[in-house]
Amino acid sequence: MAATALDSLPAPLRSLRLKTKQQELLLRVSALALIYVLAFVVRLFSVLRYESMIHEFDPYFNYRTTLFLSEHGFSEFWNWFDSESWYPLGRVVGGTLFPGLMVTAALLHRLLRALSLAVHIREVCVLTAPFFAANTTLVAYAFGREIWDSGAGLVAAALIAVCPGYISRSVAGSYDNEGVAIFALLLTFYLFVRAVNTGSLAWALASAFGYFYMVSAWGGYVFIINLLPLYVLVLLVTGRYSQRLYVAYNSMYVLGMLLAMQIRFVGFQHVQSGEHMAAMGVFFLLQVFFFLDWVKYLLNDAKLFKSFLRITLTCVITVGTLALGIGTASGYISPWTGRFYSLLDPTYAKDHIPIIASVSEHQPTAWSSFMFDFHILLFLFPAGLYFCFKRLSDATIFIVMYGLTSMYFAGVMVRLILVAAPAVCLISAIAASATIKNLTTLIRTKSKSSQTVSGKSTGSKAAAKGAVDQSLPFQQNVAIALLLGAFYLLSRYAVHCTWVTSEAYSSPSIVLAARGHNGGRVIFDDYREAYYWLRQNTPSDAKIMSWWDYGYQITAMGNRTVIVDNNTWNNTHIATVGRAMSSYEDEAYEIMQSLDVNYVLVVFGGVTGYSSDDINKFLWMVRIGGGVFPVIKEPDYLVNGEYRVDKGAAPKMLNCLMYKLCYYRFGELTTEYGKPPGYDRVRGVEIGNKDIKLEYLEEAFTTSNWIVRIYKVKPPKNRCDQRHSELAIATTEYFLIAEHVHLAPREKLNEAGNRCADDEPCHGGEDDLELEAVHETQSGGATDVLLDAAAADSGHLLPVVTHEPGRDDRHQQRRRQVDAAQCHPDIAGGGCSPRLAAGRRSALPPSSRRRTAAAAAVAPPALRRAAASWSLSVTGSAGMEGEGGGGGRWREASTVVAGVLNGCQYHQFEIDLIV
Amino acid sequence: MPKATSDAKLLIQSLGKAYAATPTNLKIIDLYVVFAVATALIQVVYMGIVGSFPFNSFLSGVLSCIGTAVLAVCLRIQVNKDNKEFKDLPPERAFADFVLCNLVLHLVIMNFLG
Repeated sequence: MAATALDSLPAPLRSLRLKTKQQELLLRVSALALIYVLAFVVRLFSVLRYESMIHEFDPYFNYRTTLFLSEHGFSEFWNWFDSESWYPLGRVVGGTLFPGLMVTAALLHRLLRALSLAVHIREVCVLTAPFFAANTTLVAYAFGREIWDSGAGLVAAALIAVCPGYISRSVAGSYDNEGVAIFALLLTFYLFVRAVNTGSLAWALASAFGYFYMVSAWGGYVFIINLLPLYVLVLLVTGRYSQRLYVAYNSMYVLGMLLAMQIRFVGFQHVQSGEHMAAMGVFFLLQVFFFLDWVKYLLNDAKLFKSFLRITLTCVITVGTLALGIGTASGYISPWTGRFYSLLDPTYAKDHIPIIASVSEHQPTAWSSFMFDFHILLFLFPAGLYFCFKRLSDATIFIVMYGLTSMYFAGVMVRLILVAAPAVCLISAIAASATIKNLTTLIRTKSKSSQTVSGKSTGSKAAAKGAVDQSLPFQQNVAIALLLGAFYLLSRYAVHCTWVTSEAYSSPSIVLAARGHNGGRVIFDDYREAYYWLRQNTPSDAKIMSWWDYGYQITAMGNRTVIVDNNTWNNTHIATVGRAMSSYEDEAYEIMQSLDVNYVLVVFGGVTGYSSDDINKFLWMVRIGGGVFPVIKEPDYLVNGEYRVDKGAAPKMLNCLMYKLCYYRFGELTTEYGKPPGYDRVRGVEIGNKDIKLEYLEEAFTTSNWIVRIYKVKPPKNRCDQRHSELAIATTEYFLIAEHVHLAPREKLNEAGNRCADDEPCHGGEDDLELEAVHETQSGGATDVLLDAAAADSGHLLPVVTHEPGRDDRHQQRRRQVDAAQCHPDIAGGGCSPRLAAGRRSALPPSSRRRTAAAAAVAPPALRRAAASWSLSVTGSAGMEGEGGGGGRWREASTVVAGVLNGCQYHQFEIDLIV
Repeated sequence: MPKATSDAKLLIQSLGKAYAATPTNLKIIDLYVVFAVATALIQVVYMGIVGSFPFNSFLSGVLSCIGTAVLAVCLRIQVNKDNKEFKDLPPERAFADFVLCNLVLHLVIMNFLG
């Protein structure tokens, strides 16, 4: 009838009809192109707001590895042993990561380079996630077309392009596995459904490659390898087994498994770990099913087949159970991992594995975040399920199962909303598309039927529809109203998504932004400040201890070795750091010494009100530390089960290392107007311990907003006791004076001086701090007496330390000054306050200085004996100049010396020389 | 007991009779499948006796056989004329797919062999 109607049309109209089809294609393609662009562009907020940079924590590792890959090539990347992380264990990077993302980015970079576009690898990394998100829309379109029709595909592409649940993990700069993996996940599913629909080996092969890419990119591939067998099982149970399914699943499984084994991090897990056994079981089950099916087909006899079935089934079940039992009992098949358990039982992690429970993205999802991430999709989802059930096919069963399982997992863990997002978008797209289509057909048939009635060429179908229309009087109006409502909802969705993206998901979290008093944006760039400080001011082999969250960033941006990082593969190591953070300073010092820690980095938000700081994470450190070391007990840090930092806090809390490092000198700071000093803006309390003294650590650097604080671990004290160290100074002096030692600087003095400056980052160059430091600890021992005695003999010309002629003229003549001025009552104001004395001494001209006698004059015989075994070396020098009181210029050179006395190593102290 | 044996005998007889009617090309594929599965079984038995080290070599051996068998079964399904599901799939296309999959399978196996 349609054909005749078509033929009856005049020729121009017929060509018009063709054109409408072309127009439809054009419309579809252009809509898809716009969606593609939109998906890319909507993710660029963060680049516009901040700059092209990598976000958060994990992406920094990915960025670092990508950099390594593009610089050193794949082979070296594959065999990379990274000694900069997990000190002293190190990490075999090539074998413990999913290389998909890095390889993708490196290939893109190479491709762009080949096209002679000079882009930095960082730009490629930043834009990888948006690029793949855009590609995902294409896959979503194809998938939607496969399970429903092209209209649903188009809607699905549009929905997924802006779905906040997906955007949260794929904005520009969030260079993480998920950005690529969701694309791979959806591609695998699409190709698999396609393979099931066609029964073609080629599609199954393509699906296996999609799976391979997914395995190479993200650990979430476990979802695929469990969902597919579940799907097959459901089809078997519902009697929808087909040979297309057999072809698709088996070839995909065998090839996919084999391909996945090429990823070293996954390795033999497909045949060894319990998480992958379902797929294998279903594989064997399908073989049995196929065999039975075939025998049934051959026999064509119900009774015979029944007996055959009984025999084979008992055999198969016994063999299968035996194999599984033996495998599990012998430990050949490893049991399920904690992450997997925590998926099945949401309360598992909280009770058993604090390291999983401590991560915020592993928490169960709140309703609000569902609403936030899905918006109207949450309501369209059940409607879509209804449509799917109404038109049940292999493909719709798949999408329903994908939707339901992923929704469950999304409820268990926040981060898995990401996995659910494509399914929810597809199912919602079916609902939206089907509804809108129904409504528009209602409106159109009404108008068409009226047209056809007037045109007097009523088809029976149209007439029937017209009859239906007449039975419902307001149908057209209602349809229009509903249509408008649907459009309103969809436009609200678009608005919501844009708002969420710009407000919530586009902050890099490495640079923090806040609203100032006048509404302007305030940027806190403390993290990068701290990491650059580390990069510039610490020795290149320095080991930094921090909580594991910051490990990747420190290695990537600070280029320094860390003890633990975000790859939480060694719980004991992390627990050791947790223990150090939650111990008293002296106990922590021992742990830090055993780990060779040079610097400790803590994140502190008390000044800015940045709430995800180390004090708020501290209880997890205690829990994780206590999980391995029972010395650490959580109740010690709590008061009546309450976690507090103010005066009522537990004494252990107030004196543990983390508290001290975070709040060191904080008691002097007024953070908010009208509040007492030491007011913590995150906790909203005045801190309980304002007078914090650090014994084994010293503050090395604090960023401008106090968010990152870095402490230097002091080198071990001279092992010989204090008296000995004083003796050492006195001996040095004696040695220098009495023995007329040549103290000529060596040629490498300057280099050595530089090294010294690295060691002492925040000290001014001129002060002779080392000697001061030793003097500070003086407590009236033998040396005091000695120095005082020396000081009494004032005006004594200092012995000259001769200099080898021809060397640097600045050192032509040197006089040394024993630093006795500090302890002299006239100058130091009666007290022996070295710091004050040091300040004054610098201001004084040389003539008025206390010139002290040679220690030799009063040196006891012990000193002479000691001097004989005293060897010292010059390790550096610093100097200052000034106008003398007598009109002449003077120059003071302080020389850093180190030495060994009686077998004890003295690190370094300074001797002043006045020229 | 005699009933069961007679049952089994009847079963085998009727199976053999029915199988005799299968076209030759399918029989060839069946033979190929049986050979592959037998090879896999031999390897598994060998592994049980000698041990599984190196595991990747064992896996590549077994998976090569299993993969071959599975792909051959798929091919058999697709070229079987009695099969209604694959009516519009020409046997040439099925064979091309089969060759392609085998190519991939064995290239990966070669990489994995160690």
